[in-house]
Amino acid sequence: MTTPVVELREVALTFNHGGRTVHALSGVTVGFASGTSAAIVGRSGSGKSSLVAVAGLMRAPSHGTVIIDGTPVTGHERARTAVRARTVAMIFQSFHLDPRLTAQENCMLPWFLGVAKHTRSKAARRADNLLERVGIAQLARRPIHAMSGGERQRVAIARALFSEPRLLIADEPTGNLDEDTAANIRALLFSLPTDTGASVVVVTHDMEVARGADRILRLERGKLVGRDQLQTAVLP
Amino acid sequence: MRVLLLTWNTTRRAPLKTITLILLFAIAIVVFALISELSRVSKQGLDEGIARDSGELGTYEVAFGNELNGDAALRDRVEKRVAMAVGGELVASWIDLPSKRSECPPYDKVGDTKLRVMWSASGEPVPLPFGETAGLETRWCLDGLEIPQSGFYLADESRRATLGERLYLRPDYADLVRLSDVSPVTHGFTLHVGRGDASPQILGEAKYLLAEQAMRLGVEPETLVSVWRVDQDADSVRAAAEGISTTYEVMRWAVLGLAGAAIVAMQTTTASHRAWFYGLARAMGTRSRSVVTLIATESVSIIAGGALLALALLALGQGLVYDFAKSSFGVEAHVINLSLFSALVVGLAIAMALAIAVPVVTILRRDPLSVLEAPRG
Repeated sequence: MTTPVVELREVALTFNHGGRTVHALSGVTVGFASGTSAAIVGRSGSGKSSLVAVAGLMRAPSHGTVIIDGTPVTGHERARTAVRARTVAMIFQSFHLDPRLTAQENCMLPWFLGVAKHTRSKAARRADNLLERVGIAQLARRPIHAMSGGERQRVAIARALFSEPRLLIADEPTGNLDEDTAANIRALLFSLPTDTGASVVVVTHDMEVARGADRILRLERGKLVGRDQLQTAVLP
Repeated sequence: MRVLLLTWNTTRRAPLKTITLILLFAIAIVVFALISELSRVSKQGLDEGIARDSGELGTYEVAFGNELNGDAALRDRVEKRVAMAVGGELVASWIDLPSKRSECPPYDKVGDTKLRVMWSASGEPVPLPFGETAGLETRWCLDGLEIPQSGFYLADESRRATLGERLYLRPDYADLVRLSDVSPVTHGFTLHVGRGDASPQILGEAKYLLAEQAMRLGVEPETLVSVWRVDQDADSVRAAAEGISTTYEVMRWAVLGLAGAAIVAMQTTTASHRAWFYGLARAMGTRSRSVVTLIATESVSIIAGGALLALALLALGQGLVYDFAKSSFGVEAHVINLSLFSALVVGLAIAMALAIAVPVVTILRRDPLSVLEAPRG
């Protein structure tokens, strides 16, 4: 059995919202293995974002354990930041690209921020290669504000791949795109496990997107439900 | 270095905000420097004018009774201890000679005249410009001997409020005057305290020091010493001058403070608008220290850029300001000076600290995930 990149064991997440306690996740056990993809679906408020926040080490669980490559991660922010930097990358619905920078510079953002350790020329070459991989090599020097939504999301994907993440989390990656562009981005995302060996987790409302994944995890009221939850216990 | 490069790349493509803030801060520093110098020049002019008309604030004369004329050591001790006790500066020791009437013109016409011989605190004769007698022919004749004009100094208008309307006698001629009269002299000293309410304290201290001697002589201590304030009562003028000075002080710091506040507000607003960027940086695993560096780099660049531009402008305009001040007010104005630098260092340090701390705290207090996406569940 392959050791999952990220494994959640009996994870619960509660927080205080307007004076009442919200149980965002409860007793979630799931793992994401290298070279596989998973889609997380569920209604608004079902805990999808909370699940990826915990799996992506952006939040410490209130209860349970997050295990990266077989090693439990402590709740200490600094430790989680260090592990997150070398393990996880995220893609967002609204791209979050700096409009003042070119595609290449946006792609190099992890290098600018000291997360990736390369020389400048090596970082630039790597950015160019990634932009080529996502199909927009010719736009490397183009500023973001002069790009379409699909092109921007490709830049965001290239940026996410810059640090060679083991786990790539995409939160509604096609939410702001038209149908054709969304299909292209979907195909690109689900090709990444094979191309890069990363584990890709896509959070989506769109079942069309979810069907492209190796497995679908459904969340209801903070719990994994249905047949897919059983599948997670036996990792692919 | 990478953060600097990132800041440069983002700034050069959207330079309007940065240039505006640099210009704003440079203008604020220039105004700060101009007001500072205007304040200094005005205060100096006012202080000199008031000192000329009313004497230096908080100047006192203390006269000893004739009973102490033979005890120089006691007088010396009292002078030093009183000065120390009231936190004042011993300006001079003096002897007031008996009033004399010259036997030759013009003082034979004006009657008895006060004469004073003065020594500095170190015991040296005070270097008065002997020979200058405010345009008067001041030849004195006493018992058939003549003291030439070079033996006298009569304070002109600019120093009359401080030195009084008496004739100052060169110490060389003191014995000549004393031999012409057997009346007792009066010993005393001048003290600069810098405030107008020190008379009771000076008197009290002197009486305390002379108490033992008074008992020995069988007199009350107050008969051995008297104190009076030399500078004229010009408290309202001095208060007005102080008010003007304070107003300038408030104005100059307000200008710098407002510019600093504008930068802090602008940087905080910018940081809030770009919260997603810092959230993204943290989501990527960037350490908080790097986020602080990112914000600090921009704030420091703006403030340092503004300071350098301001110094360049001041250096270029210094000649103009000097000429203008000289021709308009008759004073020498130097907009670039040491006190400006020391005040600027303090001001810039505070502005920099706030322009870094406020946006950093604003950003780091926010949840990185919440600024990246609206929570959906």
